[in-house]
Amino acid sequence: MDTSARTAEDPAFSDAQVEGGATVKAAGALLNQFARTLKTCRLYDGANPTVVKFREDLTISARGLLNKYGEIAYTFHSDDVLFGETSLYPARSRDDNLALAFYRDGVRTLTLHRGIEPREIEALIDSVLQVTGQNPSDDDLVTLLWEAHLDHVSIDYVPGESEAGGNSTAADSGEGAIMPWPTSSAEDGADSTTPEAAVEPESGSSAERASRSDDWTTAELTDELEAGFEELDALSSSEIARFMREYQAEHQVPIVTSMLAVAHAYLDSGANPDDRAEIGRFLPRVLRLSVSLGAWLEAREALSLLRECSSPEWSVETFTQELMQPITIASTVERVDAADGANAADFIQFARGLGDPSIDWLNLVLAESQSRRGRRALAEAIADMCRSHPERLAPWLSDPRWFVVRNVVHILGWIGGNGIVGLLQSAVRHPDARVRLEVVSALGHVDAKLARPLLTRMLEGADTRMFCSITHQLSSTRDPHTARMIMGLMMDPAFDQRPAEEKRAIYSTISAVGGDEIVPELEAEMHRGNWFSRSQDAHRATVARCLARLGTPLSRMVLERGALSKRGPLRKACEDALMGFNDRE
Amino acid sequence: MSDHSPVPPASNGAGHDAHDPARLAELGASLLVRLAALLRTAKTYDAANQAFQRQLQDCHALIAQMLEDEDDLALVAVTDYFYINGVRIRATASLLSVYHSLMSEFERRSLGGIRFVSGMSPAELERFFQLFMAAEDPVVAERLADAVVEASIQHIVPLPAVSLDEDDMTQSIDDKKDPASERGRAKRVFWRAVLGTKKILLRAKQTGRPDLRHAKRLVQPLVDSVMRHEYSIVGLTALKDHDEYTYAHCVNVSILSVSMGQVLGLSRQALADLGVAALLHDIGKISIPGDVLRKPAALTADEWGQMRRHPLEGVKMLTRLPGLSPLTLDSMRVCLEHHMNFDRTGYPDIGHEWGQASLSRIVAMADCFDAITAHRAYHKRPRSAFEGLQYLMGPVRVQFDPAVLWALVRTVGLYPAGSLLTTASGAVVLSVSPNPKDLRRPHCRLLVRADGTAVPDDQPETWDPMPDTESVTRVLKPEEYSANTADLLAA
Repeated sequence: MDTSARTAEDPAFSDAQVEGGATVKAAGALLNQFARTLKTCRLYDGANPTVVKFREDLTISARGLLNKYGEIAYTFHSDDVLFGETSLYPARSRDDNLALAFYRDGVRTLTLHRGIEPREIEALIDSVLQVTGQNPSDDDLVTLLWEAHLDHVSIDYVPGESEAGGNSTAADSGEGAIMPWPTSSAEDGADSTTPEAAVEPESGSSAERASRSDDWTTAELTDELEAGFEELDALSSSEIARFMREYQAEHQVPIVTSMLAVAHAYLDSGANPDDRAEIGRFLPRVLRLSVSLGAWLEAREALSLLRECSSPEWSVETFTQELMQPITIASTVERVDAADGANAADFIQFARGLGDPSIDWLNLVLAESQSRRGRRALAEAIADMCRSHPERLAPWLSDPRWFVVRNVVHILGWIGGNGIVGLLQSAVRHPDARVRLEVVSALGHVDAKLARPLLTRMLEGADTRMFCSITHQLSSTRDPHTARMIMGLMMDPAFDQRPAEEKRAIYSTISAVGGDEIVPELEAEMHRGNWFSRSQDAHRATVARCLARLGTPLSRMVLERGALSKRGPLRKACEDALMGFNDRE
Repeated sequence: MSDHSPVPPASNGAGHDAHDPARLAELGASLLVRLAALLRTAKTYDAANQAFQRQLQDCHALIAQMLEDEDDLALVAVTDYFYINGVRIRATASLLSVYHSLMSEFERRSLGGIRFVSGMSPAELERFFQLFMAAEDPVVAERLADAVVEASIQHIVPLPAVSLDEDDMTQSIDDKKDPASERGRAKRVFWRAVLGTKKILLRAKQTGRPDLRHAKRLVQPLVDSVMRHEYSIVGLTALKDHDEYTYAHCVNVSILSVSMGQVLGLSRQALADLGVAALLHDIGKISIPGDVLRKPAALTADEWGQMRRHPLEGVKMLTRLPGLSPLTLDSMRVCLEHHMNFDRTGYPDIGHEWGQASLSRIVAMADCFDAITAHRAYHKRPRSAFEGLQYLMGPVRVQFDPAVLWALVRTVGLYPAGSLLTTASGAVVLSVSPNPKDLRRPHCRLLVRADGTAVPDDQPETWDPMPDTESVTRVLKPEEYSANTADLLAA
């Protein structure tokens, strides 16, 4: 065709065309690589090796191409990216429209220049990801790229929406432009909204009475401008250093602290009910941010200010529901576990400040917390908050997670008192032994009369550890009924098959809870046996020691009688026991 | 200028200037009323209906009357204003509903304006309005201009909105006045910021909160300009006496603050945040009744109380912004504290120990400097920038942070833009922008040469900056000269 004929005749044209084609191809390849990198970044975590590789490869490609071609300029339309007039990346679908992210935010041309640094490529990727992600940034792409300060990327963009700037001297010069331009004689101020025309009040301070310009007061002039400036200039280096120190110190204060200070100042500046309502709408956001940052002191402050504002649109109940969302719990747990002593105390104080609705929140945090110290503090707080109404914890006893129930039982134990017996009853048969064990422990804080039936019931089917715990609890006070029940266990034919720990627990419990009522059975047990069973001698000796520990006159009498026996083992057991006999009185 | 210029060549000529702009604006307002009525009627009745025909005739009669004095009429909608042959039609209270309804009708059709040419017949007007009504459908709107030609309408030309691109217009102005110059760029950035600020404030009035995203976009070019050491933009802050000063004040404060921040050594990002906070420092004034803001007489105690609430109102609006960012915080503090002083005087009175934040000190300084040099209805004449600086360096300086005051002088120079100066050689010059390398020798426009000859307006001579052989001997007081410094600065 015509082109080929021309190419044949014009080698320079041919070279340019070939080179142009190569540039287009390179620009297209780079753009596609950029798009693929974006997709990969969206799919995987930032630290994923694939993502890292894609990003590195893109940087290498971009730097290589720009070294070769100098610069590459992409033009963005609503549905395509062009290089010159060539379409490089037409939108394939609504979701696969690379150009739109740029076009929507006003970017029309993006030029990459030779010498681009890896940091700049990274920033470019991150900025596009930010505006196209599921949680898009508050800023648009132009602002993000501006803030990234990319020296080797130039952006041509349209001004912010509807910000058409304009002016014209042409109206004056007769060139027909139609935009307003300052004139020496401003139009009459009939519809001007200028805020500058107020003057001093009829009454007020002397400063207010002085002539005023806008809202600033003015006074006499001075002619000593240059001298004044020289004076300032002489001090400038130290003053600037001081200013910058102050600036940096201000900007190191956590944002929530400063926000609260502003809110406080606002409320202290003669705020009316409307102002309070407005601040009341603002503070929940500060509160949420404080919670998410683990700034518990600030959270307390925000809570206190919120109460001061008495906003009808905010309630502790609704807020604690927010706090109990799984994602919030996870972050709270992370913060609480990492908190030092003071911060942890602030957290507890904040939770206490929220009042009763926070109990459930604390329980959830307690359930997830991995820090022993943190868990203890949380449990103590819950115990304190529920002390007068432990039934508040009842719903948590049916939680499917055994450790949650155990926590609650533990807390109930701390609360103690007869009020928890009913609550513990539901946990007595909990399928997890660790919970039941905790119940036994908690029952130690309950009146023994009320605890004993539960403990006795729990003996049934208890494993050794549980058995020992229960018997230990039962040993706390003397009780004939319990003594007889335990005696029954000892006299049971299966007693010999019990593990040694259980046997020890039974002996110990008998001597702790028993009295004269079981002396006859113990005496009979001491006399039981024959010559051939050596184990019976050990049993006899232990029973004799039990009698000695009972410490009653009757038990002494039985032992003294046994010490006169003609049967050597019996006599020896009683003699040994009498040596350690302690009068109960 | 764009090929699609909405401005008819005929209206650019001397004929246009010969007519009274006030009368044109007055008739323009009537035209808006007639057009709005015609559109309203057209929505209810068909073209044959008497009611529509009566409105059509009235409208035609008015246009014909106006065309008696003008070769043609260009009714153009730009940035919330209608202009008739370049004269702004004021949106008075009684005209507001008509203004808004017509503006939205134009926007819906992507129409920038309508040009009526002498010789227009009622039949053409009727056909045009039929097409105009049909153009409510975006597909039809796209080809409205073609449809008008196809309908043989020769004396009415729809002007597409795209032709009103401000960028094109400001570019074209720059091309003519100072092509690709630093000053040209500065002017474009400055006026774009002024009109952008106007949009932000007007929208904030409707929504109750400012658009921070938009504000950031406005401030970025200002920061870039300052970071490039382009001091022309600082010079433009001396322009006070114009329609848009309400908004320009915010931009001036932003520019001055950013420049001062740069002098003090703030980072680029910090300057951007400072610029936004400064731009929004007076946003609380939106909530103050207009009659209090505009009152030319003494304020009552109650009105003064309302005025003093604007920092609080500003904070209130900023609390409505979504998210809690350092920028929001800086903006809130600046809003709250920009009338507090370094010596703990000022307002609002917080009632306990409260130090003014560093950024607030900068903005307070810039605000005070810009405000005290602005035109005031109750002043015989506005205080000049030099007088403003003298005032700030006087006893009142204790109210300001010395570092910030120093930064202000470094920013505006000892002879700020707008000051008329006589020099050692006897020349009279206008300071147009500061010269940070030598605060005593600003960039100047020569008005009277050393030999006493005046420099013609159309052949300006400048000192960029004032040569070392010259020095300022005196600063002229405004009453001592007749030159209009505002015009010269704006040029």
